[in-house]
This record gives sequence, structure tokens and C-alpha cells, in this order.
Amino acid sequence: MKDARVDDETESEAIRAALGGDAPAGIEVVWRRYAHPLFMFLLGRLRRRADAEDALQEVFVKIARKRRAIAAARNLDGYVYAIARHEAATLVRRRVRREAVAAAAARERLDASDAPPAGEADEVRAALAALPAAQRDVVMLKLYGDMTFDAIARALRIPANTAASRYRYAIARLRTTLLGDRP
Amino acid sequence: MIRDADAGRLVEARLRAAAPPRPDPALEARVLRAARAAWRDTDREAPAGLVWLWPVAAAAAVLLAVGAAQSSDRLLARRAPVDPGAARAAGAGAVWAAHEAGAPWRAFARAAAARRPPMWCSLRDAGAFLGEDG
Repeated sequence: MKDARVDDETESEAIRAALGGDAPAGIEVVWRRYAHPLFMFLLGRLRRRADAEDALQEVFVKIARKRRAIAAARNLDGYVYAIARHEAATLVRRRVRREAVAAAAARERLDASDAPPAGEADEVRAALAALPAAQRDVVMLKLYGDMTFDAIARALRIPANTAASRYRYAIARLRTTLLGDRP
Repeated sequence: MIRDADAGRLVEARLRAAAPPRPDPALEARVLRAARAAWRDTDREAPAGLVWLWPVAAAAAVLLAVGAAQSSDRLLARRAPVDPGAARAAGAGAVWAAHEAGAPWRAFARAAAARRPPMWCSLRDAGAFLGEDG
């Protein structure tokens, strides 16, 4: 556990150095650390793969633009995930505006919990979509982003205990939804 | 009823089995290309942190210039007092002429105004005081 934390800090220092430097190739160091968990986080927020891909691109463009501020930030993960949260919210707002003509249909699409599950993956996706956003964020980062509760806590700027309890609550809800079993 | 720990593991197993795919190489290439371009663009722009300094620097320069002009006026008025009698004899036309020639005309005005309130007087007031309308 301690080693993971040391590795994490070493990697953070490498990212700060890359972002503080002048070579555009420095963005690749950021990609290696953040691309996968950020993509999972954005998928959790946006539900559609194409939207998550667009949002991921925007997040990396913003990271490149604000690289000096990010390199100097005390909480590197918190800064990066704040950009991602903001980008996801912007995309949802834009999407809702775009689909304002068919507002009712758009709302249905945003709330995938109402969509009839077509297969195992769809059923899981629908169950995840029905979770409160705060719990879904933690599940996406823990299970799909392979992050520890400590790392999730830093990224979402919440206490590690809160991250763990949100995960527990989410699993309890999913147990009911997916297994039809009550804890 | 399934035991809590087993149920938790079962749920996690189902979630993992339905894990969304990782970002693919095509997406990686697209995102990195856009990010590198943004990186180079910001290199060409002025450092964002210093942008707010420009208006502050401009305002400070204006204040300094005004302050310097006022203090030089005061200095000139102090250093080159004009005898009110001589100023009256010269008339307001001479004030204008002195002003045109680049002389510290305010010194004339202030010297003339010093003889009676108000403390400050304009060039026109100075002319009136000196007995001419300019």
C-alpha cells in the first residue's frame, strides 16, 4: 500500500515535470496516467461512448492549455478531474440544448435506467445509470479505472472514507438491481 | 439469501465482465494530436498569468505621468514666481504668448491668483484678473 503511494507520488512528480517543461510530447506522460480512468469517469457521466471520447479530447486540450497551473497545483488529480467534471457538465448541457426539439425523448435517452436491457452489458449499464452520480463516479473509478480509494478521494476531493462508503452503498444497490437480492 | 461478502463479489464480477473497452489507439492518436496542437498554441501566446498586468501597468503609467506633470507645474510655479505687478503690466496677451512659447503659463496664472481667492484660477480668470480678456 505504501509502495503504491510512493509510486503514485513519483508519477505525479514526472507529470509535473512534463507539464512544466516545453516539449509538447510531455502530454503523453499525462495520457499514460489519466487516459483510462478519466475515460471511465467520463463514460459514467455521459453514458455514450462518442460523447466520452469528445469530452476526453477536450479535457486533454485543456490540460495542455493550463499545464503550468496544473503543474503547480497541490492536488494534481483533483485539478484534472475537476476539468473532466466541468467538461462533462458542459457536454450534457450542450446535448440537452441540441436535443431541445425532442426534449422528452432526449430526457429518456439521458436516463438510460428506463431503457429496456438488451443483454448482460446493457443490463449492467442500466443498473449503473440508475445509481446516484456520486456513487457511480466511485464505482467507475474503482472497478473500471483500477483506482484505490485514496486515489479516488484525491481525484474527487472527498475523504477516503466517503469514497469507500459510496462504493459500499453502490454495491448494495447494484446487488438489489442485478441479483434481485436485498442485503 | 446470499452472504454479504459473496454478494459483493458477485456484483463486482458482473460489473467487471461488462467493463467498457479502454480508449483505443485511434482515440489516443486523435486526442494527443489535438492536445499537442493546443500546447504549441499556448506557447505562442503571452503567458496567461501576466495578461492581467497590462491594464495595471497602463493605469500606473498614466498616474505617474499625471503626477509628474502636476509636480513639475508646482515646481515651476515655486521656482519662477512672477511679480503680479509685472504680470498685470504684461497683460493676459503676454500669458498666451508665454504659453505658446512653451513657458510655464500656469505660473503666471497662479502668481496672479495668489493675490486674491480663489486659490486656483484658470488662464481665463488670470486674464480677467490682469485686466484683459485675452
